[in-house]
Amino acid sequence: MSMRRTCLPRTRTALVALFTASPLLLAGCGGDGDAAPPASTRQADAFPVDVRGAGDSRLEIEERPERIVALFDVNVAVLDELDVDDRIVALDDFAAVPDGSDADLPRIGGDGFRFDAEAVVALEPDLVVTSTGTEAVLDEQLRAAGVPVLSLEYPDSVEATLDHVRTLGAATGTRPAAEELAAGLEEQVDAVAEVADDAEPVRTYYETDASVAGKPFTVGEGSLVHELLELAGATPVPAAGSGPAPQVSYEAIVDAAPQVILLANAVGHVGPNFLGAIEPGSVAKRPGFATVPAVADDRVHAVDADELLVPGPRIADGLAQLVGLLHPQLAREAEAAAGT
Amino acid sequence: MTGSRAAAIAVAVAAVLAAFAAALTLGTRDVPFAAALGAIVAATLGQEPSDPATSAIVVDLRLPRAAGMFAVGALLAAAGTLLQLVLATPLADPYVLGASGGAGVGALLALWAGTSTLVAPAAFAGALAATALTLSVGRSIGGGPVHLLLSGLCVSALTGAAMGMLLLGSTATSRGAAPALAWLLGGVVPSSWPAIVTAWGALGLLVLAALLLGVRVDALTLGDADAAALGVPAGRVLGLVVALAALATAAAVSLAGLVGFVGALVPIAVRALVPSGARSAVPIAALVGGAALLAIDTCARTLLAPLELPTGVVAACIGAPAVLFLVRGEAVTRARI
Repeated sequence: MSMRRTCLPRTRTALVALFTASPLLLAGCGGDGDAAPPASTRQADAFPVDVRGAGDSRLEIEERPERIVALFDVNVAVLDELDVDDRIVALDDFAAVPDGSDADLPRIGGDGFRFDAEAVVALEPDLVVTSTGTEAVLDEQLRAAGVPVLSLEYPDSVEATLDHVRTLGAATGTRPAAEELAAGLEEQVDAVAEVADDAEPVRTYYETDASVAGKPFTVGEGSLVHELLELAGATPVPAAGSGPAPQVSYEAIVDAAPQVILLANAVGHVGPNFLGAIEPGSVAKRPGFATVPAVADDRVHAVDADELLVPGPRIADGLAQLVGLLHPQLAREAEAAAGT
Repeated sequence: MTGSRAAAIAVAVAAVLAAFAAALTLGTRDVPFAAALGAIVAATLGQEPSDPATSAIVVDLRLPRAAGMFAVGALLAAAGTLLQLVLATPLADPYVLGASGGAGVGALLALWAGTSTLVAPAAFAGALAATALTLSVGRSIGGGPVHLLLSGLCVSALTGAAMGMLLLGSTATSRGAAPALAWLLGGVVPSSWPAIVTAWGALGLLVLAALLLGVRVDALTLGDADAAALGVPAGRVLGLVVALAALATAAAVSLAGLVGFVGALVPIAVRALVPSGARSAVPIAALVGGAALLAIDTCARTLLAPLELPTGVVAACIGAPAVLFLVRGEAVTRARI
């Protein structure tokens, strides 16, 4: 499936209607990062706009940005979908080049979390889109040089993913496309979740990291993958109470007797910068794991977490993959639902 | 032996049994002691377990961990006791002659090279190599306890620097720094039975050596002149004890990384509470050290289950105040440790 999802036909009437309705639409939506226009907004003018970034910070964007520096795949992928490609002037070292951009876009850092602030300033951008984490290494220098920086929280839920799309839409003057994208994603996610609604919940252990032997990490409440697992008809085990990325023990896993094990850290399914990838076959050899139902029934699967289980335009595809792995009999239906 | 020593040994053995019982029964799934024993017996006899998951937890996870942790604690405490005696200072511990630094360099090198199976042998070899260096340098500058300690200080500084560089470099490797840091903080990695049996073998060897050499070791604490007058070759005994302690320490750290406290403080507590010569102190320290580390490890893995705290960290947090409480005041001076 291509990343360019089929959109509603863009007739003039639809555009005008959406522009006129957008302040009302957005005022009705809640959540972080949502552009909340002041009460006296001039309708149909997207700018100037006041956008909320990470941690309740606000950024006033006066004119439509034409020279955007975009960092991190989570942001670039959305900007790609919003057709902002031709306005992107630089990326970080790792982001995939958007389809509509020049293949030789300058890269301004990211390896080892080192960024080239001077190179960014030299490009004279009118907007830099980044994620939280770069404050000390980049944002502060840029703001000191007068460059507008929009720092966004990494979305940790389906709701946050949709708000992330809407915020980027507001910031780049593509609110109609963003609203359409967000609504479409929501519809797809709901459709796939409905497919899994009636299925028997499956006890699932989802592993994100096993680089320290005996102390693997899983996903917990407050992480996007945890929410997707529950939507896909899984009961994530072991139930570890501490945060979105808790560490668990082999004993806790054996005690929880998961029926399916999903590995987000499998060799061949992770990016080149992933630390400590494991061979799926090594899971069965862990002490005590011979009694785990998932091992006995050969239901240990690798997932392409970096591609599919990330907040972004492919989130419904990721959810469909999960449903297919957990309830094989529903795989086709789920895929079809994700494609609507 | 005297009544107090017999009582001390009885208490130590009871502590060991209690620690094992706790280690086998407590955890994410609390298993009654009878069921745990039953699972172990069934597994030894090759029978099908009545509850496969419980059997897996007790026999495949808890038992090797308990056996390994006991051996590590016993080895470190016994080695620490011997070193405190021959180096004539309560400030000695198994790591003071460079063993920990050498093991660290070996382990971090193995991790940096990307292999996890070579970590234990590399740590073992590193510990022995560093101690050999300390011994040879120490002998060349005088050969007495102070010279050895000085030399150990230098070797520790050098290996510490090497470990720092390796840690920095490990952030660029395919595994990152997490495994290296986990090893340095101490705690058992799921170990194989051959490694655990080797550690128990080293423990047996050390205790046997203490029983055979104990009298000579005690003579060394009187000072070189008096030891010579008694016909004890101080230099040779010192060298032999250091080598044995290094072997024991190498076996311990190759199993569980750098676990502190046990080798330094358990010997002090034992010698303050049960004043005696090496022939009693070493076995008692081994029992107490093993029980203590086993109990600490059980705490580390159950306090915030399923999160497992680094055993070395918990050992320092619990053990240090406990020992200070035990040996305050008169006990230390009375024991002349």
